[in-house]
Amino acid sequence: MRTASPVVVWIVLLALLGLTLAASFVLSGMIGLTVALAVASVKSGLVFWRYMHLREASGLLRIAALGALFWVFVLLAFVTADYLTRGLA
Amino acid sequence: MTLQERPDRENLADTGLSETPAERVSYLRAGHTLKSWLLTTDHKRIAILYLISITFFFFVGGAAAALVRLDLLTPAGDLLSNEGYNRAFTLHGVIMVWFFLIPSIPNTFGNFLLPLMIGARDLAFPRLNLLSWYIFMLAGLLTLAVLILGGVDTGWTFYTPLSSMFAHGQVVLAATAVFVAGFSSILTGLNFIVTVHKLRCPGMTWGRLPLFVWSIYATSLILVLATPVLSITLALIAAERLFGLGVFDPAVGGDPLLYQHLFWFYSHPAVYIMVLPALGVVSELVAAAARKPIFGYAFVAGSSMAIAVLGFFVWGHHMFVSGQSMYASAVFSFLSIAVAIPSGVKVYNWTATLYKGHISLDPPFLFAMAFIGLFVVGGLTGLILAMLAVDVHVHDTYFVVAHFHYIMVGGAVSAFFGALHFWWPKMFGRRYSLVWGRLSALLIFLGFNLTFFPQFLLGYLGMPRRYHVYPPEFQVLHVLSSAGAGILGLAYLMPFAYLFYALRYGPPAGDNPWGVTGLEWQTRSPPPKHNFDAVPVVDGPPYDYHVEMEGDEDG
Amino acid sequence: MADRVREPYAAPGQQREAAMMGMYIFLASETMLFSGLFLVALHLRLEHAPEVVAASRQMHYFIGAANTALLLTSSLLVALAVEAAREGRARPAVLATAILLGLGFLALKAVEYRMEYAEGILPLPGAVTEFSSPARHAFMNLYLIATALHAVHLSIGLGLLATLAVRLLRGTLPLPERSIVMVNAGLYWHLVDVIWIFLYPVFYLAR
Ligand code: HEM
Ligand SMILES: [Cu+2]
Repeated sequence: MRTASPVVVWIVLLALLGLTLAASFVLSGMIGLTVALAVASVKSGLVFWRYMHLREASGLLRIAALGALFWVFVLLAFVTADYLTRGLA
Repeated sequence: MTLQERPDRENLADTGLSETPAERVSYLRAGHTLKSWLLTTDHKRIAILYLISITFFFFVGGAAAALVRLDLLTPAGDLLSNEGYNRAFTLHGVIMVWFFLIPSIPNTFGNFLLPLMIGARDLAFPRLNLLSWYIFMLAGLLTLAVLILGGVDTGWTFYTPLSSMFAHGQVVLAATAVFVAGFSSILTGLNFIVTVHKLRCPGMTWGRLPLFVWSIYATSLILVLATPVLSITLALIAAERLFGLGVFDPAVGGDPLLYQHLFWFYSHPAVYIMVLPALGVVSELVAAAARKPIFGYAFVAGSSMAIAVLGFFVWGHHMFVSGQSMYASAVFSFLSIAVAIPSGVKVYNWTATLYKGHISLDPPFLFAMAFIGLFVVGGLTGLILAMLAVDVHVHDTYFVVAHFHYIMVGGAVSAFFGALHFWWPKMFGRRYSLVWGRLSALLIFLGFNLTFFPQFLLGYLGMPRRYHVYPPEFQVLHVLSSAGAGILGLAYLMPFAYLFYALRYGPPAGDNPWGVTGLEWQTRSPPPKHNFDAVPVVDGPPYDYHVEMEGDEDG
Repeated sequence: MADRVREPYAAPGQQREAAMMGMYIFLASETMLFSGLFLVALHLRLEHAPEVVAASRQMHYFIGAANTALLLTSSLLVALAVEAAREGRARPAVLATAILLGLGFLALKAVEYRMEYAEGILPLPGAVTEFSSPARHAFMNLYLIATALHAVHLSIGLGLLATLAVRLLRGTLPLPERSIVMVNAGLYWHLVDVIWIFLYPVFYLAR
């Protein structure tokens, strides 16, 4: 079980890679972007959870590992908000 | 095995400490060779290494400032060429921000005090700590190379497209220097965070941490999260200059404003890197000066964290007139005003702490009082600038210059000197002359105000920043400012005389010369290499002073 | 766990958790570093959607997919080697295979750069390039910067893994006592993988 599960995660990761590639042929525009980023997030989540030990880590370590995402969000959201509201009268 | 179960507290040889008798006496005695300093992993020695390095840069940056102020004595700008003036203020900004202010309090006093204050034997990663210093020195050498090779003229903000397309100087080298210094910041911040989480001694709960530790912790969060954004931004400038890979260049579809967003996403939080440690120092000094528990401990600690987090939401106030969307500007304006709340909480709580205390007027505390006054002026003018409609008028004038100097020089540098005067006896085991200390605190306060108060007026009257040729009607105020700068410069030199004198001739300080609380005062002065003979156990709140009540007999 | 406890620590669990926490925070700072690039990418995508899509269509997305698979597989191998190390077993061969896959990534990336260079869409200094719009140029500039920076990180990771593989072979890494070294190197490697997981759709799959 202990060695099997990383392999299972790997299979899922490859499947998700296939999924995102396939989706790119079908979807486009904002929906395509959203799906692609969502799949990438799930893949990263799996890597963090299983390969990067968050599964067994303390709450403190989980915060240390993932806390920066909040700041990434702030950066992207505020700058985007600026650009999207530029044209408005 | 846990901390409490250390084998035999009394017998140090038994605890795995490989300690020599000299190390047991003092960290300063543990080896006298240059190598014992340059390869040390002792946080206290590394703190001294930083202290020497940043003092050096303080004087280099100060020399550049002196040139700027001299040139501004006359409206004609006859001392420096246009290009030379640009280079002087750029160098001044770059060195003061990244090579003095950002490392000043965290890397010297943070390094020295953090383990002592939480009852640890060192930082979490002692060798990484030494590496940080070497990286910092490498960055410093690069900066000196910039200076020797002709300097840069972009201003400390490296705005594109000036920096990426038009500037002639050593932009890439300067950006590399700041980039490298950023690594040092990140590693130091990381070290502090892990130390606070993992190395507190038994009984040192979060609610008992000294406020200086809280502020260093909050600062470290910013160091770790904001600095990398500056690194990538500078790397993008270098990519554009060196390889023509522009992403800010409008000619290839890039956007210079994106640069400003990235830069200020770092640099507004960075101003809190500079001032948060100062706020922590002042909290310590205020409690010590009043001999009272700090009023509203939880709020003062919490406001440090609030400032660190909220500080990430306001960077757009630097871009009000840049073409940023006016809706974004309005939001940033509102959020900037909100940041004043936690800053205000601190000032009110310090005042309440001092209220009815027997306030000591020894030098460190004079510096703390100076800090409070100057910080209030700097903070309130920050509020004025944060008002969207006002800022449109005073943006990029001397009003802004005065605002940030009140906080960064009046505030942070005063706190740095306060810390130096407060912990000097602990660091070196010697007392210095209190009379000279008081005198220099006074002169710094006066010189500072004479230098920077006229700049508020200049800015309000319309004098733009970064110009050295100006209309003659501004000359009186500029001369006042330059005269103040002369006093300030001399006043900054004074402590070096009496502090160095004290190193050799000062009387021994004793463990606790100010009679204050805190673990660092419970060990010897200077502390032994491993800080404490036995790992301390904390069983009470911080700042546990006896408060005299009405009707108390003794006192 | 029988870790060797060193000053300033008192307990093995404390020392181990501190080391991992230090690494996680370092990786958080790496995340922030790349977030700047993702911000530029997002900005281009929002402001110049048609040009970005056109530029992205020109990318060799099958090579990118193959490279993603290489990195995912190498991550699996590193995870297995780390897990073995924590149980006290040295697996230098597994680590070496992971290194080979990483090198494969770099080789494939070089081939891809060559193809793009030949097609005139790789804005290397001195290269002859043709872009139908300025934004496509900016997009390819960003692509080159981001993938190059990623390759630098990958190379550092390869160096780390190679050092560990040698130490495992020589038996100079006591396991499981010092397995934390393996854990931390693994964490770094996985993060490089995670960054690629995002770079791939952003640059290759914009439609
Ligand atoms: C109460 C909180 C604060 C507010 C609301 C505030 C507001 C502002 C605003 C609106 C500006 C932009 C002015 C302009 O360019 O038109 C500004 C500039 C600046 N502030 Fe503050 N500020 C605050 C605290 C601080 C602190 C604590 C520091 C430093 C430790 C600081 C350092 C600076 C610097 C360096 C600049 C100028 C940057 C440049 O353009 O070169 N501020 N501040
Ligand atoms: Cu600001």
